[in-house]
Amino acid sequence: MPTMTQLFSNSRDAQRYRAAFFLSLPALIGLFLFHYWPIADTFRLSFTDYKVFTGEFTFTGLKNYDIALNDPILLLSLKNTALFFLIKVPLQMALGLCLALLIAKPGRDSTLLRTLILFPTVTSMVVASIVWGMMFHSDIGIVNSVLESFGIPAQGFLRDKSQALPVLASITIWKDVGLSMIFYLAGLLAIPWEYYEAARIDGAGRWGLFRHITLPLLNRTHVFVLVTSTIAAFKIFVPVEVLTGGGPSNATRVIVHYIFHLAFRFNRFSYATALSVILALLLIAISIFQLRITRDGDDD
Amino acid sequence: MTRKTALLSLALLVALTSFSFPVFAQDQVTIDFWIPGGRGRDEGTAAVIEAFEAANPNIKVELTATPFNQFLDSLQVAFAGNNPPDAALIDGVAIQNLAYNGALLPLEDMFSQEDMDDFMGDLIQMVTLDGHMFGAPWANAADAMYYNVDMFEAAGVEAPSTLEDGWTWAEFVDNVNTVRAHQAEQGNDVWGMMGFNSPLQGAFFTWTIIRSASSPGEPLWDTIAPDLSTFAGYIDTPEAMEAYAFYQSLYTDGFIPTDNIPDAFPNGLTATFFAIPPTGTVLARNFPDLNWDVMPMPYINTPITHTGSFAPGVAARSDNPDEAKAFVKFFTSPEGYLIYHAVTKVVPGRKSLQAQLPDFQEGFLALLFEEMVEWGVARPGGPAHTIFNRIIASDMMVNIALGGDIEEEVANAILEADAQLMQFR
Repeated sequence: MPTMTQLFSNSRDAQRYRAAFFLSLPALIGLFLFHYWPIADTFRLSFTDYKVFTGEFTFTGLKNYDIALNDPILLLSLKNTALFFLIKVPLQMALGLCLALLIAKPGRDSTLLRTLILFPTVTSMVVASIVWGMMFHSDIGIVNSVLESFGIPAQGFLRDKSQALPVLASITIWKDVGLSMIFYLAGLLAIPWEYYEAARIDGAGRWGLFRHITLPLLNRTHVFVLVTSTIAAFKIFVPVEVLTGGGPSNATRVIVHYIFHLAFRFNRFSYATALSVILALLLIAISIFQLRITRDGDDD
Repeated sequence: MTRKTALLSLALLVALTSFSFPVFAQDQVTIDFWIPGGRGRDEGTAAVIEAFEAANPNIKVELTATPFNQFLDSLQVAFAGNNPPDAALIDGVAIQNLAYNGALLPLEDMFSQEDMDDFMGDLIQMVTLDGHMFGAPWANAADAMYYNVDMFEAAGVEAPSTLEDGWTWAEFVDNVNTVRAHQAEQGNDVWGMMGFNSPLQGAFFTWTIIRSASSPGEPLWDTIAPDLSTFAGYIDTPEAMEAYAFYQSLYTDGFIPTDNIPDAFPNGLTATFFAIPPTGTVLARNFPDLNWDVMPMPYINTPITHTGSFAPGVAARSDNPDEAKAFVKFFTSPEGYLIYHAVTKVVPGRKSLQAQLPDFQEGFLALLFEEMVEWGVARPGGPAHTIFNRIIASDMMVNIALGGDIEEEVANAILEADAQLMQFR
């Protein structure tokens, strides 16, 4: 880090630092205006009662946080979000790893396969949600037609309280698995081939290679995929808004959707910002916890 | 040009501008008027503005039309940004909430006793909070039950044509099932009723059925505690639970489909169609061969039709409240309404206007107009209408329609809605 004196000297380094600073200034201003300032303002708003129609602020201290402690719908939405996370993240990670292993086989041209798996990732979530919604329609959807052709009775899917959340999870897994696969693929390609050759000479089988070389050496990739997938799972919003609106009977009411409704449907901006702060703290805590347990594993 | 001439010219320019600008400011005031665009509202409003500006040359009205679905959000952003329009044409059910939040000015001083007697009572109810009117009654709408005349005649079923002969929901279902049975004999499998959306959503439709199980003054009729503290004890009364069970049976018995079927009514896939007055205009224009009419809304115990439409309000933070009020007064006057109606048809919110409008003296619009005057009631909830409308009249009613456990659905809806009512405590 250059000192102020160095920065304003006429040395070649100082000129480079100045150029770097001024070149990154527009991006820094953008970051401050559209990321850090709104975050700081959200934190401030969470301690107020903000009347959006009159612009009045009243400082209320911890009142919004106190309300949150007794909010049954917040508890329900956190429970649903946790359930969604538990269904989605392990499945997505396992599937992403399997697909990466399939593609990473040496000597195979996997361009087409990779493109096909990555295709959903670049598809609009709104469009994907609408199409999947039609396919999972309880009366006219193709999924029920296929099930019925095998003699399985038609399912309620998005209209069934017990099925709606798993259906949403499966749609988002389809959408996001390509990205997990790419990260695993990068991790797999970074493992030196000599390790496998040496293990084979020592008599290791396929399972042994996977268990004792691939899995441990992918530890950093696991951490990265786990943390990013967890954050994405806790921020699930679009398919809920498009397909279920939080229903049936609040079965898909997840935390971000609840926050959105509080702010933009019921005008409870201050309370919504308090819940956003709680969600941010929760995600930070979960990420630290995940990093810590996976780092401990790495140390071992 | 010498330096002296230049200085003199500058001094003259300053003197001229300093005299002319205040005079201009006093003479010409510009006010913003926002409306939800579409359905001919832009053209109708522009015609009223033209007439108003001709009569008030010192006031210029800037019209801004925003797509209907984004209108309330845009208005909210404008208020939040401390830059609201001077006046706006607002969905009637949002007015009490805006007023509760201090966004609108009371307008009752604009109206004479003659005006008050002329407005449909339900519209006054719609815009009134704590004894003050925060919107100006202008237009109205109501539930409308359309039926296929050919199907009814073929089955020998005569639909009621006057309010006195209106059917209860039980009579309605029996008679429509007779029509369906006759159609089935001809090899046509038709639904009993199609909703404006299916399952029905929103207080305008679902709550008309449920609320009709009670009478004015009863908890279910009020729907929410007067202090806006709870829905418990209001939407879970025995008569409400019976009404939900009846409502659910309409879907589970296959009387109403659980999904939207586009153009089901004009294509002869349903015997009746629960919609709104403008639907009749659309049917007449797009399906001229279809033989349809409107019957009075069926009811369980008390005849009722939920009403309400847009009403203009004036922003509390308007820079020109007097001019904005003058425009709103003109816009909602009989003269303003007739100018608008000549361009875009809407149901008037004043009873006296029926005599001047042939459209409302015969046919389905005459029946609907009479129904609004006699049976019309504003949707419930007051400032908490949005909470009621979303959680109870929409989500809960959809869950019930799709076969949900009624007691569980009602209990959950009360829990969720009451949590949102905290903002009024």
